[in-house]
Amino acid sequence: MEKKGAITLKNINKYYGKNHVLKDLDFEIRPGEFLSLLGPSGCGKTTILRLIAGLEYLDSGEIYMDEDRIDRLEPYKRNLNTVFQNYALFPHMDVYKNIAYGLKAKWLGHKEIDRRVKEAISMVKLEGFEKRQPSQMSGGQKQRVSIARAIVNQAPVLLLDEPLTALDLKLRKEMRFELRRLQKQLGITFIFVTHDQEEAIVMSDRIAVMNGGRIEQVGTPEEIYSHPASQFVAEFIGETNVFEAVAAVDGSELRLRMESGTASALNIKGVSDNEFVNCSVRPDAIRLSETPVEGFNIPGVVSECIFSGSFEKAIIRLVNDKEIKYTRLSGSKIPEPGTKVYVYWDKCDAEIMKTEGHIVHSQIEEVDLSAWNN
Amino acid sequence: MSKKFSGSTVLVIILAVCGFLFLYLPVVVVVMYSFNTDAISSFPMSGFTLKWYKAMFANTELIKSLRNSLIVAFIGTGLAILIGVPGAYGMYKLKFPGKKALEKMVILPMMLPGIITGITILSFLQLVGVVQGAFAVVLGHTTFLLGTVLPQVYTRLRQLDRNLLEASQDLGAGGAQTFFHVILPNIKTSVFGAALLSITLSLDEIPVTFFLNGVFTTLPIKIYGMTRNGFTPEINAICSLILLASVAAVIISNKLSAKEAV
Repeated sequence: MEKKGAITLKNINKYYGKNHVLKDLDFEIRPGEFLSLLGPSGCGKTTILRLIAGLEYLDSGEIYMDEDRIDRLEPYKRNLNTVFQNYALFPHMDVYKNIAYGLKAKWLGHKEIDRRVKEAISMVKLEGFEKRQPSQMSGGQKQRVSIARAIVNQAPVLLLDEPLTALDLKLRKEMRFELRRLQKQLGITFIFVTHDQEEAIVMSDRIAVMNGGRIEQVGTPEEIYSHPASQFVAEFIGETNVFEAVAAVDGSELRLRMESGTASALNIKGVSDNEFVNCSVRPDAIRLSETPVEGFNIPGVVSECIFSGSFEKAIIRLVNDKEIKYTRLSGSKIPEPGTKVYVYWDKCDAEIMKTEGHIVHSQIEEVDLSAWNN
Repeated sequence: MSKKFSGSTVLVIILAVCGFLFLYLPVVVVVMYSFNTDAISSFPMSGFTLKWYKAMFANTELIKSLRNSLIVAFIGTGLAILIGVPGAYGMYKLKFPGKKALEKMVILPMMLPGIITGITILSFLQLVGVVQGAFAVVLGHTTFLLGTVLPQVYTRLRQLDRNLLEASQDLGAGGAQTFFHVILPNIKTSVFGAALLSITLSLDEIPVTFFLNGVFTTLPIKIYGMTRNGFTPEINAICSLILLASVAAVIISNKLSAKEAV
């Protein structure tokens, strides 16, 4: 039997009382991919997972698994399994019985159950723990049991609800790679809910960034990091500097007029003259020079240098008192605090985002830079 | 190391001792007199004897009422468990409007004076045509025992991680499988504890029984009747035995609840 495991969400709406938690969600999860639902708490990511699992009811919309509509099915009739955040192991059963539970519920034969439970136990490296009670195990071990209990059923889709948050940092980092390995080994769809952007970037084939009940952007970790579709995504994934600007079209480029000076970027998104935009530049894409670079005039002063392990960070104060972040690998030369610098960037490193209807600054005035240039 | 008590500490200790004596001295006296050779309750005791226990066992009417009481207690408790446990589970599992109000209403029978419960059950049973007697008493006891079983089991269920229920469904288990393999094993001691408590409550119940019994006599009603024709030490003897059984049941019930709450 061919394993598929595509999940399609069509026009999903969900309310908790008057609270509209998911808004017209349309979204497809491809078979066999590791997809992360990433967002701040309360953005609706866990609700999506619970809707797919059947633990919540939809207010409107449809959910499909491959070609079959599943949103009206009881949870126990859906061919998918969930790894819960708090593990939810059955406290009155030992490890073996916990893992065998799903197979017993399907009335499989003893031999088949035994073979598959042992296989699952070895997959999560818990050999020798069969007779342990959950209360005698550490968080990481319980986590493995809950994963084994889910994958033993060989469903084509596995839902994981922030499974690593309860673990300590070191274990969390190890488990990231183990989960990734397991997913590749099983070849099934993983839908992974997390609020940890680093976790999502390291593990996922694709990430869906969520905010306020909507999906802001879906893409590979690389796409999301390098080409954030909105200011929210840019700020949520890694650090960034956002400049509010008025655009002027100049051929294939944009000239940006900002409170802190002028700058340039590529016009990929079809911005028109006098449109208000946000320009996002990652701290590692910020460049500094001693004299203005063509197309840029953003003077500033280095106000602080911070050493943080493999990176050095600097804070640069601009003329409008806005502070921006600048990072370099340790060892490269960073200007001393107090140095006057000109900020610029490679035009393709700037992400231009249209500000959707709301204009943050109604007027961005031309700043008199003459005092700084002397 | 010398201990010094302040005036207020001494006062608290004295009050505590008084309270304790007030609660338990009568109980001690009853047990003591059940072994007294003298038929008249008097102190000091004139000697030690077991004859009142012998007399008690020879009193066929008393033993019959004890048997009636046990029958009512066990059937009533059994029915209360059979209705109360699934009822509590339904309240726990389902979300419905008015759930909060229902949670408060189910403990009402426990709070209501027995006389109110007795009269309401009596008028209801008359309405549906059940005559006073053994059957009516069993129904009455079942009703008020539900008020103890349901809240106790419900409280235990609410301590249960809701994800266990969801995990079971997620792993492909239907409602009955989930109930018998995941829920029941995790609440079984509180069910047993509720049953023990119900049996003890049923055994010493007077007001509800009084309205419903007709000629069917339970032990507390029999004892009540016996005291009106003069207090015999047999009553002390049977009270001591009931006391022993009740204390044992309560201790077991508490131990079980404490064990499961971990």
